[in-house]
Amino acid sequence: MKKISYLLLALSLGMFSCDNDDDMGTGGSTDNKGYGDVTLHIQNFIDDEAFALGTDYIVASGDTINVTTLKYFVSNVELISEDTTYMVPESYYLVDGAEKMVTIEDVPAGTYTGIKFALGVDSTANHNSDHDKADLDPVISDGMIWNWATGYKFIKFEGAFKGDTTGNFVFHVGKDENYREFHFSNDGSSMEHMNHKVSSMELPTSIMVMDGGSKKVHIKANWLEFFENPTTIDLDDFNTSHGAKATTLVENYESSLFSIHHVE
Amino acid sequence: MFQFRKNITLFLLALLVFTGCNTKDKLAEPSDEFRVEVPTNLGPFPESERGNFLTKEGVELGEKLFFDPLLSKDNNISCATCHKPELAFSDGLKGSIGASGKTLERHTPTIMNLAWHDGFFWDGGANTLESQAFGPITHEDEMGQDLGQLMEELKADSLYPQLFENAFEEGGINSKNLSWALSQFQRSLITGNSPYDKYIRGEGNLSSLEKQGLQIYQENCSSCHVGDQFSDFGYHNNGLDEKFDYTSEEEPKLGRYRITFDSLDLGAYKTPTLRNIAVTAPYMHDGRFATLEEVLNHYNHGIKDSPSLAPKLKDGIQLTADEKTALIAFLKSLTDEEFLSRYEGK
Repeated sequence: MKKISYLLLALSLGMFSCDNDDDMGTGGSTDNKGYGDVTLHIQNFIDDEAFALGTDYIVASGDTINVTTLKYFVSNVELISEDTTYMVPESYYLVDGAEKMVTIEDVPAGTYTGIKFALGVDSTANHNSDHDKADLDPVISDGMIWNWATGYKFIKFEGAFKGDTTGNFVFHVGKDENYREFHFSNDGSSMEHMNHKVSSMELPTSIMVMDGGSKKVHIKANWLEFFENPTTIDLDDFNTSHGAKATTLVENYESSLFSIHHVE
Repeated sequence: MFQFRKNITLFLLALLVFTGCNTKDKLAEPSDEFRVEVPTNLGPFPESERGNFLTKEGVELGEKLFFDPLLSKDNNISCATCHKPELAFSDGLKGSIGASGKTLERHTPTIMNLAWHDGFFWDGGANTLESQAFGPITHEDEMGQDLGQLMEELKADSLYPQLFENAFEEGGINSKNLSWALSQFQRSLITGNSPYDKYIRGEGNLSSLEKQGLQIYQENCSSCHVGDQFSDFGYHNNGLDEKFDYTSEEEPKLGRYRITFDSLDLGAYKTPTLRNIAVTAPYMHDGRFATLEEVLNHYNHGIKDSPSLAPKLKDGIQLTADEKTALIAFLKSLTDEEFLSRYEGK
């Protein structure tokens, strides 16, 4: 059985490798209205202030943080229209520092009323480290795989804090159970997944992709949300993310970290 | 006598698929399939779940990388520094010392018949050999290497660029191909020609003491050290400690708990094979026992109770002095001299 599945895999890989222009996603191109580009501009913020490394910020507990590393994976981007969903192939994007700009080419033209993406790496990819594609490559992602257990750090957030005491914080969030999806739509719809939480929020305007055109989606990540609601993170006591602590952090950000600022 | 595993059908099909696209004429061919010689009592050779099939070029590249200190931060530690072929790829130390100079908390695991294994490191933290390779290379207390730096060093080498090209259809020098080559080499390390193996295959005999020990092993040890791989590939707390009140949830001393966060995995480690056990002292995940006698004494009267203790070990394993002597004689019959001397002088 095992051998047969390898054969099928080899054959299907072989077929795909000859047809690079094919739409790897589901649907989307049936009417063949052409293709356009969609650029995701993912920008980190502290409330309304653009985030920068090496700058002092005050979080909900009143503690001051100064960040040396902020890296995370945005993945599995889907563009959702009324009748189809375009799943962007191999969409694993590492945001490192203040912002990330990534252009998705050859998106089937259409009116997308929703967009969905994950924070983290899906279990299929996360259970292996030998990836040579784009940002999952351990050389490119640099320090995002654990060296004692197989898996990616979904978020690597490190720096110094000043509260009642001073010290360093090291937040590394990973593991399948902490994978989360963020869904934005302008028709009030919501989505669910059997294995993880999907938060549905508002998309200010539809993403209209025209043949040969380009659209830009500005995604805002407000990192103050990481430190509050429901749990206010007091860095004097809470400055690592071992075990269950990671879940506390995920519950803080899972429905509030991202918003779509605007589409242009 | 030997079972020659040849996936020729698969190989040909793969070739057909690869040559089906005429995009590049210089596609390196998957080349000669590596001929794995598997002693019959080991059963069929399990293929890589990542599709990383052995080729002659891949195994040879993996071997060169395995013995090359270029892989470490200061180019002074190779995989073989701690995984010595003559000690079944262990190193005889309680805790090895790597790039940082700090003594590691766990004893270097052996490398043999890993194609049959599932889960790597003492706690099974690595899912595949292909994923495991990145651990020791990058860990600051092991080889301490930066992967990007390593890729640059390999690319600047006079031989590696061509060797990677020859071994892999695409990618040349990259981290995936590095881990795939190392994994191919490790999968090629097969031991199954000890006196015990020859006895089981009807090619040789054991002394009556060894045979007596074999029977004692079968009655007392074989529920965890199962079959001719001498492991169930499971994780068990074998009663070394009674408390696991370490400060951080990721302490290596917590056993597999740090991977699963399951309290029944506290102090649980992978069942090691018994193959070549005479040369792989010291014993246990932390090398706390220097001799096989100490190991048997632990099972005799040293088991410490705790909620995660393996149920079968609650009462220990009671053996008389004569039984212990026979069991140790049997364990020594698992030494495969041919395997241990294969890389002599490397």
